[in-house]
Amino acid sequence: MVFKPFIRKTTMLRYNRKNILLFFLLFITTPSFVAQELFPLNEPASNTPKGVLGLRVMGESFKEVKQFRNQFSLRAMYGILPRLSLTVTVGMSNHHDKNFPPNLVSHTHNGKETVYTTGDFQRGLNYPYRSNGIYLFMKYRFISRDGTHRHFRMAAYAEGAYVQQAHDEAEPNLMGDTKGVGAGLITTYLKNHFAVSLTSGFIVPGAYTGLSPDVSGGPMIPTEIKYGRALAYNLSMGYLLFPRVYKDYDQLNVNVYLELLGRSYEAAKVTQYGNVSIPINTPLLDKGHYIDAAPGVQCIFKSNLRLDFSVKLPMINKSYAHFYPVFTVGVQRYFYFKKRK
Amino acid sequence: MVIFTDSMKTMVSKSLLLVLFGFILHFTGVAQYKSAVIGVDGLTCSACSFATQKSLLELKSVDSVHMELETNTATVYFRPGQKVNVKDLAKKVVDAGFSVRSISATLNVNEWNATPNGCWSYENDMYHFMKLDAPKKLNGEIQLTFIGEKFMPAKEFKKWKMYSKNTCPPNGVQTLYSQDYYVTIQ
Repeated sequence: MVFKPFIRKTTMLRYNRKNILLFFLLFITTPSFVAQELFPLNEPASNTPKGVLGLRVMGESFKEVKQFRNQFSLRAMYGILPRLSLTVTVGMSNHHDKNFPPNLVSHTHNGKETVYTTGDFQRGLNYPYRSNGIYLFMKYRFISRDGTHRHFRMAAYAEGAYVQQAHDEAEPNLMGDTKGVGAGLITTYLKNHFAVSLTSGFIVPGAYTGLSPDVSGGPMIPTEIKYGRALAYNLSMGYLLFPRVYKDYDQLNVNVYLELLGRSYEAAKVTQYGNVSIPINTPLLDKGHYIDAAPGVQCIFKSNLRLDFSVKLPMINKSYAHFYPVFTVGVQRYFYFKKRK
Repeated sequence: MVIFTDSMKTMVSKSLLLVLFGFILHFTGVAQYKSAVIGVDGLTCSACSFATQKSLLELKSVDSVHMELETNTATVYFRPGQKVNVKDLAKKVVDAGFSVRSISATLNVNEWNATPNGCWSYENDMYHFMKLDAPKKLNGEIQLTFIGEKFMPAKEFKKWKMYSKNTCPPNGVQTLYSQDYYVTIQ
């Protein structure tokens, strides 16, 4: 069998790099707007108020060849201390199966020698919905410089995920596909018309051990993928489009966002039968880096019920862990349980 | 037979001191908190203001809160007969994730004699007058602005440090009071 270079088959939306740049310039030059930091995809340095419970239902969808890949999550957010908050996320997705896809490991014949490498496995297979396990995210705000209509805040975060999915790409994805831990810093600066938040962190994923079908029809082969360690660097911006002047809590708030989501990750390590190391020969399992751009829009009803919508598009390189565009929808509400003493 | 332990002796002597200073050095007034205006810093969205309002409403002394969304000021109306703890008001703003820019309160007072470097106690709290040049007789509705690192930004508080040498009542006794408030009269 001759190994063919991997070609992505995708029905990607046409996007214009110039348009994204224009959108970005509009953000930083438009005066007289109050900025917003309730980013649909990123966490700001601010916390959930103490003793308040937030619930968010999230949906994410993209089309992988002809198959829609969906992820549904439920997130609970709680303010333990004014500066410390915890989020717990559970969910399910049809991203992967229990076992690895056929042809994950392929082989070629060189005379009498058989050379094994990771193969050009098929994308867009139909998988059942499986649990995404549990994802924990804790954030501690250690700097708060508050002013009128402005603040500068910094927070440190730690995240961890336990999930059993046969993720078949090098890039780790803690919320949904790979188990592991991560940590980093969030810096949010907000002044009148300009809000910006930078998240930088690292991810140390675990491995997944599952079975991989043998291409020559033999029994299933025990296979382990150790995903690549990754760096995350996200830049989020946002502003309030409506109302121009705040009058009461019942006014509909409309915010627009642009989030740039960057990842840089190492190559995966594939091992079969416990100790046979398989050379990587597909970009899906190789090291890589990319930056996605995600414009988004958000409506807040009665100063509490939040509705988010955003679309992830490739800006620099592409992720192999998802196809484009990625649509994300979120509905969030805070519950103020604490009553007067 | 009553055996006086050391701690009991200290308690008795402290109480005596308190009574003594109560008569000599400060005035005990009759007053009623009406409302307070809290300037909140760091607020950038109406959902954040809403969270701050909800946080303030958890206090027993608070009857209602009116939040001015453009200026980010909360006007808190108190329940009559309930003790007001101004430090708790500040804490509730911090709990919601924001900072206090300023706190001033409106009180109804009955014949208070404010003296420079003087103080008075009200509901077991000690109020110290700051930046007062001459004695002042207070009657009716007055407005107090609270000075302290929990009641204003750090930069603003630095400006007030030069006035904080007010020692009324003398050191050691003031620990008997549940709260010490440094205030200016407007």
